[in-house]
Amino acid sequence: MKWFASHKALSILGAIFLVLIVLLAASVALKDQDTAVGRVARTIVSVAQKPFKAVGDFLGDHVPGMLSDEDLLAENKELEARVAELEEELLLARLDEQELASLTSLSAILNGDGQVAGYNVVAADVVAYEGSSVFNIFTINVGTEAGVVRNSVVVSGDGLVGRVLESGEGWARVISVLDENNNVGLSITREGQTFIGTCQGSGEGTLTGMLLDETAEAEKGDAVYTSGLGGIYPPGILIGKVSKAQLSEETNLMEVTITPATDIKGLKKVGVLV
Amino acid sequence: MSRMHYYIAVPFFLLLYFLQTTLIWRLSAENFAPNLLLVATSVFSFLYNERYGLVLGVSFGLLLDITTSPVLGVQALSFLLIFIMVRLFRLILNNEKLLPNVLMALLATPVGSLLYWAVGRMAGYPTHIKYVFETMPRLLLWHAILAAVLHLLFVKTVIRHRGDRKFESEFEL
Repeated sequence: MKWFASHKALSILGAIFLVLIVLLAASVALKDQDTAVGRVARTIVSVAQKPFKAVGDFLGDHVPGMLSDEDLLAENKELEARVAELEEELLLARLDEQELASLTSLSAILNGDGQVAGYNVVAADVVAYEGSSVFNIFTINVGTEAGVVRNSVVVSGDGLVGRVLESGEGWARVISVLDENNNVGLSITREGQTFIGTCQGSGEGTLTGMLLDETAEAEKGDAVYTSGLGGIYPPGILIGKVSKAQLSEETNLMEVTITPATDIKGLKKVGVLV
Repeated sequence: MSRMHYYIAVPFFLLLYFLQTTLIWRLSAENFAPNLLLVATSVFSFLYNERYGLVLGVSFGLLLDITTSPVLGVQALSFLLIFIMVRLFRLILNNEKLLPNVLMALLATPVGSLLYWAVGRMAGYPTHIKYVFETMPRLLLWHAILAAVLHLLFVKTVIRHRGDRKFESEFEL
């Protein structure tokens, strides 16, 4: 006790350190579990964040790319839009009727009146992002009052965004499919044949997956949809496009790298399937 | 005693917190954003004898954890480690000089990012270390600029009697 009294500063530091380590360990052990403290804090913060979000939206629209090269970004965006336009034309030519129907319903999502495979869709604004650059997590301004619960699927006009980690009154935290460590069922349709498989976040801004059929084929540019397997994500939502496909020598199965359809850092509005 | 007070520091950290979680991402067109609270914790730990870096860094780190992080306690712990690291360097560096303060923010950056990544991996998130290192150079650049701005903004509040060459304040960890 004498030592603690004479080393007050060190003792306080040690105590804080221990508390944080215990908190961290408990949090890692109870990953994705909801806590009452967290829910109350997020409800309060979600109200306070609204004016900052409005300022952010205004500046974001009028001062784009302040932290990066504006000219290059503008050119890049223009080219991306053109490529997307051309790819969409190509994709539409390939799509079967069912896929076309699911894409049409997806595009209606952001109006708040669309439906995806029996789900109601709730439109939401993105109000806050996670503090670091490590994870792709953000907060939206709808929650339990609109029926948004854990594992509700979040989509944008471009395709799949992710799922709800937790929700409260007026807010929900969404984790991107890029940070998904559970397997997501996927399907790729080529020349009238549909191949299924699974994918998960690679940790490098893409998804990596495997097609569960030795005869399956995939090529760069192929559209990848959710297959509905795995339970969380309903079928027919665009995950992204194949950026790399190669046959695994070990498993003799086709391995694919998928570039997600949605850039979550640029999101302002999303739809939640409830 | 410095001329900094909690009634100035707390609203300032609060402002940074809201900027961090809202505005900063809207202005950033790339897949990274500077960590304002990390830089503020480093700068305040370095500038002042009082434990603003510890109290505010850990408190707002916890707030960030509760409201935005996938794992509770990780930002608070990284800010605590940054406080300790900066205070140890403060024993040998002049806290009123710009360059040492910028250097502290540069050292704090990988501490924060790598701890966050490591804990995320332990929790089962797939983030690759390559992804963390890819954003590091730009993060370092922005953190250096922010540290310089904060230093210039607050350096005048470091010593109460700045003109008195004989005035010295006590150092405490």
